[in-house]
Parts: sequence; structure tokens; C-alpha cells
Amino acid sequence: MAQERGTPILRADGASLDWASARYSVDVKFRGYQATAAHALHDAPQLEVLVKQDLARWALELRCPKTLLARTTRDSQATVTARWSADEVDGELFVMPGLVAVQPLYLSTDGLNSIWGDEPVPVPVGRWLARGPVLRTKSLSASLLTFEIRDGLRDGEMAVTPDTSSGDLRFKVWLSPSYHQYVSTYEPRDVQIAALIAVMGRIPFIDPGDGDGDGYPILTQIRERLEDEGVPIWGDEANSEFDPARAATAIEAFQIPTMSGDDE
Amino acid sequence: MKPITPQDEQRFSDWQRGLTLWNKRNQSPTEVADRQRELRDAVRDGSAALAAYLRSELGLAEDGAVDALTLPRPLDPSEFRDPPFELERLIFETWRDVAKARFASQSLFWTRNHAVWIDQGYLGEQLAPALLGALQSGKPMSTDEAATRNLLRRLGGLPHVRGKVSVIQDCPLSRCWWRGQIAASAASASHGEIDEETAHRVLHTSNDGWDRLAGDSVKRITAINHPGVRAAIICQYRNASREAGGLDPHEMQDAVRLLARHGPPLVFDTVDWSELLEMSSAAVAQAREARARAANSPNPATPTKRSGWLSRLRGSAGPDP
Repeated sequence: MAQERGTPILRADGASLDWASARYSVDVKFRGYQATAAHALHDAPQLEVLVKQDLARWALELRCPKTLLARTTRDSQATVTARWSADEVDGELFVMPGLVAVQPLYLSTDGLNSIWGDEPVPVPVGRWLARGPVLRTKSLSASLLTFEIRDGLRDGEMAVTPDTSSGDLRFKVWLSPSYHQYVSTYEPRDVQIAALIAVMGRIPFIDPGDGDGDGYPILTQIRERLEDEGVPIWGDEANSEFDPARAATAIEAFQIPTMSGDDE
Repeated sequence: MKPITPQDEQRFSDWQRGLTLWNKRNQSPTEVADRQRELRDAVRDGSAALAAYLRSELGLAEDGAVDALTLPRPLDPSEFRDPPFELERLIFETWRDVAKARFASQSLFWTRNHAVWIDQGYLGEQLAPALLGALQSGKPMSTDEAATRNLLRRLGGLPHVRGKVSVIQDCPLSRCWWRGQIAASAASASHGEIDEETAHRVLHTSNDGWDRLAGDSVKRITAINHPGVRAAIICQYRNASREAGGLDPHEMQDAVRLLARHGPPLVFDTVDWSELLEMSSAAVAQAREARARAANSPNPATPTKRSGWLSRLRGSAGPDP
């Protein structure tokens, strides 16, 4: 492979020094057994041309280590949906978005930092041209909750408090030391769902703070998820219908896997 | 198939943890030893006793019949410990369309199946030779703890000790499905370079080679799970068997890791098949050279170990492409 000079990569986190001012952003949404990535380029006309000429395509790579799954979905459209079946995945699924060369090409150095010189850069097939973050399909509840120790609690007791120190909203679920050890070891689903129901009960009373809508990004995710599920949401006309248990189990249902895989 | 619930998983995990000294601070060695003895006694008492023990411990007793994957025929102890290729192929063909990766990646799934096979007599009446190994034969260096761990690994894997790769590496019957599955996906990605049966045979030839490939695939370099990359690696295994010097599992592992270095800047399944072959071949050459250099140095850092699997692979890897 011609890789003497390497390939300049435009990273969504801005960590690459290859590009002077171009930016790449990607928004990935998970729903059921699919991930949809909306890719966007800013000030990178040469990359946009490559997509138009079908020399590069938008991509979503999926990897599930436990089932040895690795697969990439590519599309010339900036919105790419990758699907998987319930039977293909067990445990965490990693999702990697980006832009990939699908034909050998020469990348113009316009917009690249001067280290790349003036000659167009040869790019072999399969090289990432732009890369987003590696995302893992963590359930919404796992993103929302962290289990912590509170000495004053007895075994089997639970308390829930909001935590906004990260800039987004999270909830700390407090447990006694020995019960925390049990929950950390076995991750019992009933305890997680009980905590999620408690969290849902707190959400209508969360101050959204400054800004539009729900304020905290995770509240927007929860609202969208509940809308998708057709479950009443807090804070609107259906407020009186809002049921924390219904909302929590719409997000994290008591699922029983089946052999037939017909739950896809 | 009886569905696996979170409660089932927890019960299974509790059972395995209770049988192994994995947390010496919080476990009573005496209690663990008592539980290990109970399991060993059940094994030595024969298939009916072991099936009853497993049904009880796995919570299958109350539900009566438990459906499971079907074994194509009864296995003798040596087949159960390490199925020969023709049998492994037959087992995979029987399960090809039934088992799914989501279930096959769970140790509980396979342990349950073993409980049923043992109950049905498919694994013979006397299971001690296959399940208790060195402890049964009186060989030195075996302890109750080691024997118990081996037994649990053979029944479906020991995830809390060996990690999530255990189910793929440690259980001879789950390995049949995983190797067959990998061979099928590799053959379909190989553009006719290798057929499924040959790919399966190559993977079957060395358990050491398989362990290294599976271990890296799960724990270190998931990029090599793209079917095309797997196909290229398996073709290198096969090709090496025809060449002087061959390629031992250590060299293969080194080559896979060299190949995986392309992973971060590359999307492997966008790369042309011919180029994948070229890349994997270059990785093999580089790995061989590095091993040869290390072996020839006065104080080799990584001694080369020939396991003899190459000689078995030679002449059995199918026709030239």
C-alpha cells in the first residue's frame, strides 16, 4: 500500500493537526437495533467533492467483541443507518463513524496544514479520511445512573439524588456498602429498574436551568425515547398522565431473550 | 429453548463463583472445597447423578423438560474432550442454523446444553475421564481447584475467571460452533480462495492457534473480526502449511498483530481482497523474520516453540487454489 506519507485525518474531536480549519461533526442516535449517524463537514470542500465523485463514502463501523462481529455500512448520503440483529450482539457494541476512501484517490492539500506540502496526497482504498468518536451502545439507564455508597443506609435501602457536576444530568443511586458490593458484582436488573423508576419520579422536578427545552442533553434523549415509545411525558399537556414506572420500563423493560430471535 | 433470564444468569454466576476460589478474602476455602467435593462426587457417580446435580444448580429441575441443541450422535470421552475434525464438522452442520451468536457467546447457554446431553446419555455414563482429567488419572500437579475450573471450562466456560473469551476457547463443543461459524464467514469473504470446509479444517488443526486467534479477536484487536481479514489470515495459515518451515501459532499471532496495526487508519472491509491477501502475507513474512532473528540471537527474548500442529496440517488442508 502506498502509505509513505500516511493519510491526513479530520477528527471530530479536533485532535488532528492535519487540517488547518476544516471541521467534522457527527451525531449518532441509537434506536433499537440500529444506529443512525448524521455526518457534517465544515470548511472541507475537497472532502465534500470526494463524496460527490463517489471516491469516498460516509461510514459506520460496528464491532461487538463478544460475538466477534465487525461490519461497516457505507453510504454516499450524509445520514447513514447501520442495522444489526439481536442475534448478532451480546454485551457492548462499539460504533465508529467517519468518512472512508472507497477508491484510490489524490487528496488536494488545500486546507491541510503546510506539513503536507503542495503535492496532492495519495490515499489508498479503505483509509479513514474523517473519524468520529468511538461510541458504545450503552443503555440510556446506564448513562443516567451511577451506584454509590452511603454509609447511613441499611442493606436493601436505596436513595436517589441528581448530579449535574458533569454538565449533564446524572443520578446517583445510593446504597449501603455491602449492598453496593452485591449490586456492583451481580448488576441485578431489578435493582437497576427500581432505581430508574425512582429517577423518573424525580425528573419532573428537575430545574432545566438556562437554555432551551429540557436544558440537559440527556433529558432530551429521554423525552425523544418516550415519544418514540408513545409513553406520556412530563411537563406537557399529558403531564397528569406521566407515570414514572411506565416511563422507566419503556426505557429499560424486563426483557426475556428467546431462541427464535423474533424480538428483533 | 428455555429462555435465559437475568435471574438465570445470576444463579449461574453464583454457582460458578461458589465453586472456585476467585475471591480469597471473602470466601471460606472450606465451604468452596465442600462444594467442589459435591460436584466431583456427582461426576464420579455417573451421568444421572451429574445431570441431577446440574439441573438443580442451574434451576432447571422445576421446569421439567429442557430443550437443547441436538448432538448428531453420542460421543465417547476422547471425542467429548477434543472432537476430531469430521465430528466437529458434523456437529457444526447440525447446529449451523439453530445456534445464534447471541446465545453461543454465553457460558450458561452451553452449560445448560451439556446438562441436557449428559441427562440424555449423549456423553456416556462415566464422565470422570473426560471431566476430571488429571485428577482422575492421578497425575501430579492437579488440585481440586484446578480440576473444578477445568470441568467448568469444559462444560461451557468460566467467564468470571477467564473472561468473555472463555466460552469460545475452553469448551470443546462450543468451539465446534464458533470455528464452523468463523470458517463459514471467512469462506464467503474469500472470493473463492478458500472453501468453508478447508477454512474450518485449518482452524481445527491447532487448538493453540485457535486460542490465540480467538483471544486476540475478543480481547485485543477486534478489527480482525471483519470476515475478509479473517479469510486472509486463514489463507495464510493454509498457505504456510505448504512451505518449508511453516508458521507456528506464535508467528501467526505476531502476524495478526502486525496486520491489525493497519486497523486504526483502515476500514478493513473496504479494502480489496487481493490487497488484504498482500497485507496479510507481508505481515506473515515480517513476523517470521522477527522470530527467526530472535531465535538466532545469542539471548533470544522470545523463544520459538514448535507445537507440531503444522505437521498435522500439512497434507490435510485441501487442494491448491
